[in-house]
Amino acid sequence: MENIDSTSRRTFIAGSILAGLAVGCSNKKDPFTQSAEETVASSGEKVKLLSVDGEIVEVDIAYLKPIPHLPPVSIDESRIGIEGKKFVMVVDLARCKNLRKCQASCDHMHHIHSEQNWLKVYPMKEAEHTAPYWQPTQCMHCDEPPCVKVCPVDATFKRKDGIVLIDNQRCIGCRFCMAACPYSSRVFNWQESDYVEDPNIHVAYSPETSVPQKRGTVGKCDFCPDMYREGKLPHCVQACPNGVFLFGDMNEDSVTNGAETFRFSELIKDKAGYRLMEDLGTKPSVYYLPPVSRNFKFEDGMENEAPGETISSHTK
Amino acid sequence: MEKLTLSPEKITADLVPQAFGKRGMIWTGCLLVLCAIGLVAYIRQVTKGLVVTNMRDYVSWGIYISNFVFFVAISLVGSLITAVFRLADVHWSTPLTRIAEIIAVSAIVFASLIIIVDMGRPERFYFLLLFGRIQSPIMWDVIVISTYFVISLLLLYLPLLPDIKILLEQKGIGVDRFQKLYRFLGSFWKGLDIQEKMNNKAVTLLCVTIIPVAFSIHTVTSWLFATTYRPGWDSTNFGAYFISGAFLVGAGGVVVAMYVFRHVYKLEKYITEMHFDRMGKIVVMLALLYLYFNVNEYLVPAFKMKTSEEAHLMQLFTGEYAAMFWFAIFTGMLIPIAIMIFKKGRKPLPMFVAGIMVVVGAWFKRYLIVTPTLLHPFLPMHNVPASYHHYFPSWEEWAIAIGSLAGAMLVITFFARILPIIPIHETIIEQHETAE
Amino acid sequence: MKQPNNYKLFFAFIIVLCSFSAIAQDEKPKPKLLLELGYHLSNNKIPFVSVYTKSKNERKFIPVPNIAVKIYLTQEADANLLGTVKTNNEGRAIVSFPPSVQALWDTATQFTIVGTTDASKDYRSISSETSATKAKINIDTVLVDGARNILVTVTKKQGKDWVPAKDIETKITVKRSIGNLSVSDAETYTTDSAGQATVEFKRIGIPGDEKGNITLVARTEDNEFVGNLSIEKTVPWGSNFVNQGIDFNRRTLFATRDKAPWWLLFLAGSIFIGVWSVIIYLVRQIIKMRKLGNT
Repeated sequence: MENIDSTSRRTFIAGSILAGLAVGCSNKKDPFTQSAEETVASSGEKVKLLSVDGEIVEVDIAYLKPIPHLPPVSIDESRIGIEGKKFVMVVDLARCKNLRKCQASCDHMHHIHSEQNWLKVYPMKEAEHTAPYWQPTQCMHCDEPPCVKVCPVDATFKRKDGIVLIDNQRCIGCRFCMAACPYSSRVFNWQESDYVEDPNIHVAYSPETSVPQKRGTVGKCDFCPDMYREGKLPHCVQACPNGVFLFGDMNEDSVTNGAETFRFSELIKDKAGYRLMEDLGTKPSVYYLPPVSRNFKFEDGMENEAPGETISSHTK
Repeated sequence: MEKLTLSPEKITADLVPQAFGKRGMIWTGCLLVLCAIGLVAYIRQVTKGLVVTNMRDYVSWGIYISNFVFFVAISLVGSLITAVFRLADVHWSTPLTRIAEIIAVSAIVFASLIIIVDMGRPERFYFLLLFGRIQSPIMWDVIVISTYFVISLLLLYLPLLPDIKILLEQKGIGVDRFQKLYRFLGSFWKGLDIQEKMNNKAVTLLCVTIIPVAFSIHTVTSWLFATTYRPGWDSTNFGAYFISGAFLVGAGGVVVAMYVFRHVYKLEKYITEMHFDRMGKIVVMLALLYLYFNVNEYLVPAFKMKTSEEAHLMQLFTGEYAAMFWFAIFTGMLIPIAIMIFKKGRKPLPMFVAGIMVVVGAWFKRYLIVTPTLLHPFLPMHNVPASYHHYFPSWEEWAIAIGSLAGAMLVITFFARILPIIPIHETIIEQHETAE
Repeated sequence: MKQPNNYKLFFAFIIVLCSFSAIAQDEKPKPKLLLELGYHLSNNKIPFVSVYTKSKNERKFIPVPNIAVKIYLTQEADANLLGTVKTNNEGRAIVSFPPSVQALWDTATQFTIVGTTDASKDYRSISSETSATKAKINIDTVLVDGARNILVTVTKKQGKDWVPAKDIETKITVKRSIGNLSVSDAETYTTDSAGQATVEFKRIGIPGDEKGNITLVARTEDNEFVGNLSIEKTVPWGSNFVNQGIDFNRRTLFATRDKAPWWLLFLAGSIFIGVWSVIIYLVRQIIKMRKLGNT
């Protein structure tokens, strides 16, 4: 058996194989269990397989094929969101080394320029004597989003599952949402995206994927709901080698970075998790774990900084 | 000063629109050129995208928005001069009402145009009607501005009707080519008693209605900023602060227009030194009021120096924008007050200079409200190109902004060319009443 | 001496072979295709083989799609063929055990799965294998000192019997939609000499479905002895599902346009209607005046 680079990958791959066997939806069940009939549409055609005891059993053929890539969700569905979920992200600041693999992955998968990162890693230092640390920041998907309040045409909206999305076919480019967001998480597409679409594959536009970005509209982190529908974690979560990002569902009380899974409520309580700018009343969905017992020194992250970037003390 | 009684014929002859002289042609030509350059710049912007401006992700609102606020501010003047004075039964302001109204209408039209220019997707403008969200301050602004435009137009039109009748009876190069237009506008006006009664009632009703609407256009525009969390914008003071600023810049604008029309059309008998004197006193009062609001707006946060606001305030007082800030304060308020507090300073020429200073100072003040705040987000500006840390408008932005100002002035110029800039009928009536 | 000579001969043979293949190949060396096989037992019942084709690009693995792979049981022979599959866009495929190998499978205790690919224009042909012992995993719940515990038993086939498999690392988790949550503090639990691992269920009150049911999953992951075993059990140990998400239908300032708050609709509506009634009245007055003048 080939050796993979890390156990974490192994765990995730094993899980995703089983996940890939079911029709992409919320509950990923082992297709060979009885309950799988609820999630996988049985074709009616059965095939004979061997069981571990050497008996012949019949299983519906639909369970055998890995399900192909799902088409993107319609705009109406993407405005409502995934039932029963409340997505939440936990960022462990003690592990961040400013490698910016998260940023590179997000930029690459969404075909956005490095000038308009949806995910930024800030060097933070609140006061003269407080500790410096690296803070990856993206859209907070607030429960009382100021950006959604001010949008004049319903181009940005809050879904049932907590995700705040942007419909680039509706946005008129007034940029009020950018002025209203206190977390500076929105960027504007000042010019045409240089993404070249494959002429053979026509993928209908969906706010969940938002590729390519449209000129004259606003863009921001979307918590990758299209990835979730395929049973995968957002790109930033997968890309981070230090496991800084933990993504999950508050209704299931569990967050994971692929390798480790934690009980969300316990994690926040044990490590004194907090949210940014709590006093503004935006009720963000991204929690931060304080940079205590750091894995890396702050200075270790300086090697990734572009030359000429200044680090100045700044407020939360 | 003894006021000479003028005969209706004389009044009419003086106030009827005249053809452009050489100066008028040059003036109109220059404005047209500026508009054309603005149009070219806009075409560039529409084809390439807003990347041709120097707005970027941090300073996402720039000179277009500050121009928009400036236009909305100036358009408030219509309600001040026309409505408030009419309702207060003030008669000396009658010659100024139409100037005020045309400035108001022209400014509000260009406010809407410059907002469309600022949109990333102007072709989706109608989405505001189809998909508009009533929860958004922008929707409030759209509704209120449209309402104000209609009301201002009515307030311009109704008192114009008696004058149309007079124009239809005139002959001369000034009015001949527009006879068809006059007939379209108001040939039904026969000066009947009942028409006059209805008209007067309607105008009074308009004046009453326009005051709250005028208050709301600038209050709602100020809420585009005050409903956000940003330092410099997160202020409960904004509604009153903006409105007092609007009255000031509107009054200043009227003073400038008064002087220009008086000079160009030789209207010394109608826009007299008394008018300048009285407007001067009003402008001083409004400037002091605006100064009061400025003190509230800057001194109080400076006393507290909250961390989030500190960088912003220091930037205005002593930093990158200090020159512009103090220029706006001095030129926009302090020096004009100093000029106009003295009787000698309220003569036409000093008033004209003070008026220009007020308007220019106000334009920079609006710029200072929009841009510096955006350079101080809560989280540091990081992982972005160096150009994002500053903002100076590109040539396209300047061209379009100047083009819009030129366009507004062009509308006013054309209006004065076609229709009497001072109400003829009302002036005749006033003269009659004072003579008896 | 014989040995150095053998070495020299062997070396020479290698050089000749390499130069042959160098001539035979294109100028650019073909990227190395890697084939990863895994033996899985799903829910203690259905065995299958997972296939993953990938290649290495600058220290990262990238999946290679559309590779035809033949999977055999024990050895590469037609009678032992389990199936031929083509890996999908993500380089993955699964192969289950067809009835044709029933006799072979029945007698197997320790077995090897062999996978081969054919040479294509992009890649050389490769083969890979994985071996495992037939094993089963069971999950049960017990009460120990009044606390809920989970008992996992792993057994492997020896001859015709199933005997306890010791020192097998198992993961005992609560099933979640992404990333299963371990039932206690440790990540893995090793079976003892009786092939059993017991762990206390520490996730008290973890949300389940509407009735409070949760699914426990016990599995081994890429174990060198038993491969990937997994089994699930539903228990009513969770708390009832409560949706902590937003009330999508509530009228708020940040809801969609059809759900504006009543007070706002009332305020904006009454102002709008008030002012525009005046405007409409005035326009009608103008029309009236027009009529009066034109008669």
